Amino acid sequence: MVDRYSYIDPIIRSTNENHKSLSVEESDKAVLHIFRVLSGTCKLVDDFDDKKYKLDVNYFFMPFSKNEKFNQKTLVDILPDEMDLKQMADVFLRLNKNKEFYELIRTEVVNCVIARQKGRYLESFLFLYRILEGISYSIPLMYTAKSKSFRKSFKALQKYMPKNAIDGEIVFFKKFINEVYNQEGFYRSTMDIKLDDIDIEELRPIYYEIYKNKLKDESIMNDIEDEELQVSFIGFFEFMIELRNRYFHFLQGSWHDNISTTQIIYPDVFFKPIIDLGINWVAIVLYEVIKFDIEQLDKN
Amino acid sequence: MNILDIQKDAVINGVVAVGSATYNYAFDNFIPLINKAEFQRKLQDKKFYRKLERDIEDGCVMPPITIAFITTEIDEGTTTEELGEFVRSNIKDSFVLDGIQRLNTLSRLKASEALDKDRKIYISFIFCESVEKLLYRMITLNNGQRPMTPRHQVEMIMSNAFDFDDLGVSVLTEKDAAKSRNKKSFRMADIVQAFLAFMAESPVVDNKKIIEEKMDELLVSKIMSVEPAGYKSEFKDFISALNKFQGNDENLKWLKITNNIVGFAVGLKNSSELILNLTPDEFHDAIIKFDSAFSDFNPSRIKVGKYRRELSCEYFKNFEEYSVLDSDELLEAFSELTDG
Repeated sequence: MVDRYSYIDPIIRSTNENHKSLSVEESDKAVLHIFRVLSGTCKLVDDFDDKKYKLDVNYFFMPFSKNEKFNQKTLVDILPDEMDLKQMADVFLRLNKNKEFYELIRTEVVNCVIARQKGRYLESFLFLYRILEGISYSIPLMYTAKSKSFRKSFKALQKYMPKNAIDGEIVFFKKFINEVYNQEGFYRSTMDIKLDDIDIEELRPIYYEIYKNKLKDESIMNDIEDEELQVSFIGFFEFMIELRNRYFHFLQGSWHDNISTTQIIYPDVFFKPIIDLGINWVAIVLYEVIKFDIEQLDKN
Repeated sequence: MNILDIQKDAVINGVVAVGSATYNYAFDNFIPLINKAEFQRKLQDKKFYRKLERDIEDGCVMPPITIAFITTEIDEGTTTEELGEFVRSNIKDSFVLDGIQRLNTLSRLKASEALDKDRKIYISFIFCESVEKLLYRMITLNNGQRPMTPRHQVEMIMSNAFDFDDLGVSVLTEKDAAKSRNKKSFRMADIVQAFLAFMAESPVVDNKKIIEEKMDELLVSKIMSVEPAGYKSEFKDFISALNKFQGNDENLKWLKITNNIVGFAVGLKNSSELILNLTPDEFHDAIIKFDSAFSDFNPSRIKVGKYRRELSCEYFKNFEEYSVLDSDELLEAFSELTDG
């Protein structure tokens, strides 16, 4: 396979023997690359276009935040609590679980983040959606194979599992998130769509209405007219699905309330306030998956 | 609507009066002002206001709202009666300077059967001859409004409402601790966390991966979801427990671990009577048993802190049930609860 992107590590030097397994240059493990890309702690080089992208948004925090410095502390801050770099280096050295899964997701994550860097938010949303589809079946299954508690609830989940519907796995994934994470801080917090991310001021009230219209009432936790919509974690997932269904599908004559290009006027701007939150959402879930894999490692 | 007192404001060269009115009067006269104010704020739909709505219905006293008039007819010589008359006949020309969201919340209760509409709302009226001066007042009024974080509010209450020396517990701030050699002291930061957790009825009150502002929101919503009428015990009980058990060195050592003390505070809220009746030795046995079960339980290293906090909470919350188990049975209960 030809790789389009290569990695530069501004934090871990390739000569650093102790932390080698954390270096995006030295290690080619997909799980590490995803970890470093989504935490905004490395650079990507597009070897075809000969362009460099400095990633600096940490999507593992809620809400996502910009890294100001790039040193070892930046990296330590994003590790699971009570872990240091040395332990993490050991973990990434031994982490071999779910290799195909991470490899599949890596390309999509990189494409998604690069498109976002270029300001191509519509394109970025497309990759975001591919990630969602890619993870929505695999993650619950990865858990099921390992977790005793989940095996129990899985029985309950099976009855929700639609057999043939197109969005079957999406529904399934939503049930899974509800079941497994409902006590977590991120689940109970909100994803805040900020309309001032939209540079063209006239578009704010228009987009506010469309977003609001595509959100379920129970998903909106707080709401300031034309300025901000605070959406529940699970509600934001449904929102992403709804946007994709209503915009990327354009079947006429149905009862569906599709979004037309006339309404949106400027698609890249329309998706701008959504993208960072969407990546944030995916990153938080992936972080839990990586932590789960680390736990399994501890058990063996 | 009654005017209670009047005073001249020498800075904006106007008159300020304090009045009260029934909710009924507010529905007819103040609510219509929300929609006409020219420099109106956007209506917010917040969980906070939904909570306020229930509290108003249950009979809370709302903080005063501020209503302004631009007029030259009022000066410091105006009597309360004349002023009351002026307000009653000119209310439709006034506007709400502060309290739009509160009035909006109140308006949603117009049809409520449960609300006692004869209860009172308090109003500051401002009479001023110039728009500029009024705006000046509005800006000075609203800029003090930046909300205090829940943590900050707890620190404030803590330093004003608790005399720790009096309660027999030594608590040191980080700064004081650096100077002091007193090893018997608790850390203020732990006590603040314990209080927050106690109020929120949840041991999880911090999370390094959730940025402070978001964490504060989460805390506020947890605290708001606990009905104050249902408070089972006071934080003082917790301080008394610290005082009682700290004499034993191992107890003190155990209680000085953040995850333990925070979990313990929340757990105690539910079974304070039982726990306060323990002797220091009995408490000692209880934590030895806990630690022994916990170390055999052997959680993954990335979950150790989380589980210690949650399980110490659970242990003391249902102490009656757990106190009869031996450490093996306790271990089994822990495994069952976390079931990984």
